[in-house]
Amino acid sequence: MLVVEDLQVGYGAIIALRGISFKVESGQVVTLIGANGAGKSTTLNTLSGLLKPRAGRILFENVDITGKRADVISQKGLVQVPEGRLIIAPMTVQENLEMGAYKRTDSEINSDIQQVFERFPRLGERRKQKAGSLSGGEQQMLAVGRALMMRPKLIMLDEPSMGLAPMLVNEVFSIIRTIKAQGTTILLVEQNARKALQVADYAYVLERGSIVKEGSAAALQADEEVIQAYLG
Amino acid sequence: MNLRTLFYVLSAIFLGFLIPYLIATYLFNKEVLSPEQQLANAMWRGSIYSLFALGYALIFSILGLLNLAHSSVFMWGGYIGLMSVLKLDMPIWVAMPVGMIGGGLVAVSVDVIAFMPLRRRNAPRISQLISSIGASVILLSLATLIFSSTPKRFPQDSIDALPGTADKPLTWLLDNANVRITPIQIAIFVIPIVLMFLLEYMVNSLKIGKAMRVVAFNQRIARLLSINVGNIFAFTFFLSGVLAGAAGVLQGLAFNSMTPYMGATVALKGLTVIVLGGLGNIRGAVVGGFLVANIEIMSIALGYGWLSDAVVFSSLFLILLVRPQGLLGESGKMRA
Amino acid sequence: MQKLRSLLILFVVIAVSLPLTISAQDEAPQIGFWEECETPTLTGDINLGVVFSLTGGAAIYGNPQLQAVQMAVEEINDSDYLGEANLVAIVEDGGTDVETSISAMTKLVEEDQVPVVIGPTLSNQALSADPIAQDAGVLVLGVSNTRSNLETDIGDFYLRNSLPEAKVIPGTVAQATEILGLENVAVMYSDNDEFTVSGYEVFVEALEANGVNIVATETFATGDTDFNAQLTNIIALNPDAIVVSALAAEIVPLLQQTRNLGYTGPIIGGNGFNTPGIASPDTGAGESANGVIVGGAWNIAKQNELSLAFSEKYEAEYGAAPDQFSVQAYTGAWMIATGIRCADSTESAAVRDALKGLKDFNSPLGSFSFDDDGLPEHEPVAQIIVDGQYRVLTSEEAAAVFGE
Repeated sequence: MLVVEDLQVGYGAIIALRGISFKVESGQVVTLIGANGAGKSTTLNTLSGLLKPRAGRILFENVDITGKRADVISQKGLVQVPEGRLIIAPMTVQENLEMGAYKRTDSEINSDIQQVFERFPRLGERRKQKAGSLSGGEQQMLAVGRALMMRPKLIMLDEPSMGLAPMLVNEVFSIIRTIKAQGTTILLVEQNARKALQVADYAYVLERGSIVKEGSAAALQADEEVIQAYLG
Repeated sequence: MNLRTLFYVLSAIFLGFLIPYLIATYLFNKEVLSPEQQLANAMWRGSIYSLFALGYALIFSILGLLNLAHSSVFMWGGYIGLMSVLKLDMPIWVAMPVGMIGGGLVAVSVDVIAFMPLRRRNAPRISQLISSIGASVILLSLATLIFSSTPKRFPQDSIDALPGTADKPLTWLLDNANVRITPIQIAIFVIPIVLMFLLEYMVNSLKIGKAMRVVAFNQRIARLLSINVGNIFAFTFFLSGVLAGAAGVLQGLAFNSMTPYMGATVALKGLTVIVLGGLGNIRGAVVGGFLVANIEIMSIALGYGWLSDAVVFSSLFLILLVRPQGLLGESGKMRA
Repeated sequence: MQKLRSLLILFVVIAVSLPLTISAQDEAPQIGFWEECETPTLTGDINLGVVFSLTGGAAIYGNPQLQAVQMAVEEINDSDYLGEANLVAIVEDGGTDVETSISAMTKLVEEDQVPVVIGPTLSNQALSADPIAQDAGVLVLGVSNTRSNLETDIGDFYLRNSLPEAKVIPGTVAQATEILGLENVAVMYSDNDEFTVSGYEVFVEALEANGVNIVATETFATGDTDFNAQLTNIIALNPDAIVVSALAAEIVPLLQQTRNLGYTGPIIGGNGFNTPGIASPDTGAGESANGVIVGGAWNIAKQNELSLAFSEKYEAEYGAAPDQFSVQAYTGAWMIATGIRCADSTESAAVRDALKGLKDFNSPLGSFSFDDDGLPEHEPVAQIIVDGQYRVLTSEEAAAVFGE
């Protein structure tokens, strides 16, 4: 579904990605794990079109989307839930979800909003509240709900558990399982490698801008080096 | 929401007109000659200031940037309306929207020429500010070249062609007081308020308006939500140009004199208005416009006409001392 | 044989020139000091520098000025007013700005080395460009500069035939006071322009001299377009007239707003009101200009034979009635020729001295003299705008506009 070939990205003199290649198959949960600064968020932002690559190719559903604008890419169904739960604070919960459906013209927008509220009842209770007044966990729910309103084919989650209390972290991962169960493909970027590998089918390990290891989630969970570096 | 705006406008009049009036009359025994007429004078001056400042505020709220070419767009909108009447013999109610759309297009070209290339390169705000000054100067020189600096005006018959104006000024009698209001002045008072309500409705309730608010809040989120930020910028510039064009045509109609320099006088006033009202706050722009106009007129009415600018800027200073974010500004994030 | 031939030529010359001189005498009175000064002994071409605003906002004044000068130069050469010498106009565009007029003046003085320059159109151009001629000892005759004190600010090589406001306003105020019976007036002026402020001061002096009471004084700034607040103050006091010292750009909206606020009385203005455009229904104040009273150097209705003859010829040549500016320019060119004729010299200083001594020079402007301070002097005309036309102010015309 998503094929990345030899992707290189840099900011000025700094090289953030040194030519990485990976794949996400339809229906899979793929995770990119790695330390802070390894290039995980850079990868997602480049896939989203927020950053322009220096070299390499990105194919989404066999279409070359390299260097396309972010709004064009997200419209194709490659949707990012950005790091830090970037919800639109001054708008209500309801409006945030409506903005997820900004480019949609179909008649199912309202029923999709209802679905989000069914999945996250806490959002339904606060639909008229300003998004900025929600708790951290609720904001993460809203960010995911808003992404779901875009009817994504592949949803990219950037550090969804960052800054959340341990109980909420579990909640976030259960949300990921639910999305997966509904057949949405997921690319998950996480620092919490243990949790990520538990939900993922396949994983890549990113170190200083290069992929140093890959394999099925089960295999990496058993890998000595991975256990040493990320799970220990 | 809209009723609140009306309430704010009334407070501006109260603050800028009524309070000084009462203080002058009862504390200092200073007579204000025909206060009703002065209030009417303040109302339409305020309408034009508000309309002009609206476009300023709109761009500031979305781009977080002062478009100093706004006064030139205002002048161009006015001239496009004027030329539609003079050269193309359009009736004024056609020329007015033509001037508005013309202003919109000029504003979009300001965006394309002065802002877009710098935005692409992530240039600092200050370069974009300077670039907008450059665009303003170019627009001014072009206008001087094309329209010449000789003052021009809408021909009398284009104004007479407005419905109900055949018989010169209407005279309203209010309790023995004679307030003279021409139909064009009524239009000048009504049009900005209608436009302001439309703008508020658009920004709060329409999809594109909400998209503008998302862009204003965070461009990254907007992009990830499939919002074409460039288009929103262009649309915002277009809208601000439409508002400026309306203000330009109305100013030309109201005061019967247009020169390419007509923007210069309003430019500084507009800036004062939006700082006073709260940078980038649409309602603040309207309230600020009425407040500044009322203060100006009141200082003339009390016989301190030569001090009116000084009075306006002192009030600005005082208000900013108490509320650094402006009257309706919210500390912290700006909002559309 | 040879003698016969020269006799024959002499005869032919006399035969041809006789009817010419006779017909010239028929058209008397003629402009110029034909009797007062001898025909000069000069020969060849005498360069006359001409700087007028041919482009920009002031082109509406500058182009008629140029036409009038060209007409005068043609008449001067055709009539042999300068004997065997010919006046040749070297024309430069002074633009409407100061810079263009400076470069035009520099070119005339340094490159063409003309002894005399006529122009430039605007007072601020004269103030900036004329010192170039002053430094080079070249005479400049202003024909439309009305700012006060130009003579002292520029120097002794500057003269003008256009009356400064101080010479026009007192006469206008006196006539208006007499005809309209003014007692209480309100004054409005632009307080950030040198020209309008000096106009204001002259007005105040003239009003006081005529025993007229000033009940209110309001100010505005050049560039303002909204005068409603000041006018509201003034109109509430119900003055007999509103006196205004402003520039053309502010005058039109001011007039319109005054009338919109319901004031129908006289509006007395300074020289800024002396633009036909003010009463134009398209670009000016149209009907709102009716009842404006303004002093001028000249009015087309002025009954003066030279003026009538000039108007007729100008209209035949250019298809439009002349304005004050073209009359002054025409008179100016004839004055320069008279200076040259009486000095019998093209030396700038000699021409200037001859010109400065000019007394009772008969012209379309009336009988013209320079006073002891070198300031121009002739009778101004108080005018009133009636139905968009500048008419000579009389009680009949006033009654037609304001009623009895």
